[in-house]
Amino acid sequence: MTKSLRVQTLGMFRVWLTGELLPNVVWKREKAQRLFQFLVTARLNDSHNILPKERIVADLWPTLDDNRADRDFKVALNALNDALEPDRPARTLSSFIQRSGLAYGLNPDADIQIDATDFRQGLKIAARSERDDTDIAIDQYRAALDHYAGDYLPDAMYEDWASLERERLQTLYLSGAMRLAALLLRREGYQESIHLCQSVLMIDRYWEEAYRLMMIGHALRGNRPLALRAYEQCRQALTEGLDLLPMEETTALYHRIANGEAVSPP
Amino acid sequence: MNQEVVSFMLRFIREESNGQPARWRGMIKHVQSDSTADFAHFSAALEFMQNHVNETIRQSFGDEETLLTPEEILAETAKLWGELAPRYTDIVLQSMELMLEQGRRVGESMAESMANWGQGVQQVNQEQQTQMLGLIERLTTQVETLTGKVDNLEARLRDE
Repeated sequence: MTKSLRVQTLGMFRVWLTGELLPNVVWKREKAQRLFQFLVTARLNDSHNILPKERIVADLWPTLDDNRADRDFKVALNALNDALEPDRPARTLSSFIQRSGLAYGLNPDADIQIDATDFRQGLKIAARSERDDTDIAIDQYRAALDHYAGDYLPDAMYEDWASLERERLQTLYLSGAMRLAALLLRREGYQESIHLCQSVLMIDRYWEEAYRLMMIGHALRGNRPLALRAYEQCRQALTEGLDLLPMEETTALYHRIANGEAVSPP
Repeated sequence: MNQEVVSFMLRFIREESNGQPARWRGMIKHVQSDSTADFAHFSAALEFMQNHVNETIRQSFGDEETLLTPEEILAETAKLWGELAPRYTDIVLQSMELMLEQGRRVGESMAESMANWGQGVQQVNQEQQTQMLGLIERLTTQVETLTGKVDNLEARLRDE
């Protein structure tokens, strides 16, 4: 039976080995898990499928001298191989890990599925579908955004090397969620659209487009007080946090709703 | 080895409203503490960074005071001096060369002025003239001595 890995990096870190969830104890050492997460991050960054050992060591053991860092790297690599493939022949790498000279990475030929990759590819496919079929695009956006269960590798929150990918994925989520919220308004999916806007505002409470879509969603549902309240929340957040006023487009939308004029989806 | 890293993640957001000029705002995150700040002016982001860098410096000094013994501090100082010394010699040599060059110019300028002065003022005192010439001679000797020292230093550095 071919071995496979499924890796959850969004919201929390979990790994399934051929369908079986690996318990935390399997890593034995925290650095073995970190090394694996580091290699996953390198895989997500398409231009760095494998990395020289020096680069890995510099990021994971920045405070150790060369000898100690080299020794700790070997220990962590061994623990990682044990975790992923405990029954492999002695002194060999796991089939999930690739070595090329003194560079290491995830084996591109191994069956490794990473949620962050599915998320990114799903968003790409959805964006392409938008021009042809709104309903298909909506379904594809939904499927892609479902992968985003939270920040990338939250247990590596204070690691430099994970921050870039975390930021990249979060901004993809924000823009993808906004696109889906806008499309849903065209298909009368008001409640779902409003929820998406709220989830964006949980991440960035100054995202003005989210307030506007929320105002339109409430207004189209016939709930004018909530639409006006969304504007008030926007004004308050921007004024108190950034000393800014809402943009003219947002204020004009507020006046249209306040005056009882019709609003339409973007 | 003691290494302190302070890193920041900056996000700029461009927001455009129909027909209105785009507006920029941003968010900055201090990676090591996960603390964030939103800003509409970049000066606020710079202030955020400055505060975190200052805090790290303050903490590292605080740690050294409590953890390092006098011997360790001396060893650290010697190590730093060892790293700085080669560059220090270069800096001193460059400074000396600059001083020498300035000395030469001052000497030439004075000699020229004295010559002009001698021509212009016929009734100059013989004793004053002798004093000035003596001064120029001493300056010339000092310049030559300094040049010799620099040559020696350069030769020693080359040998090392």
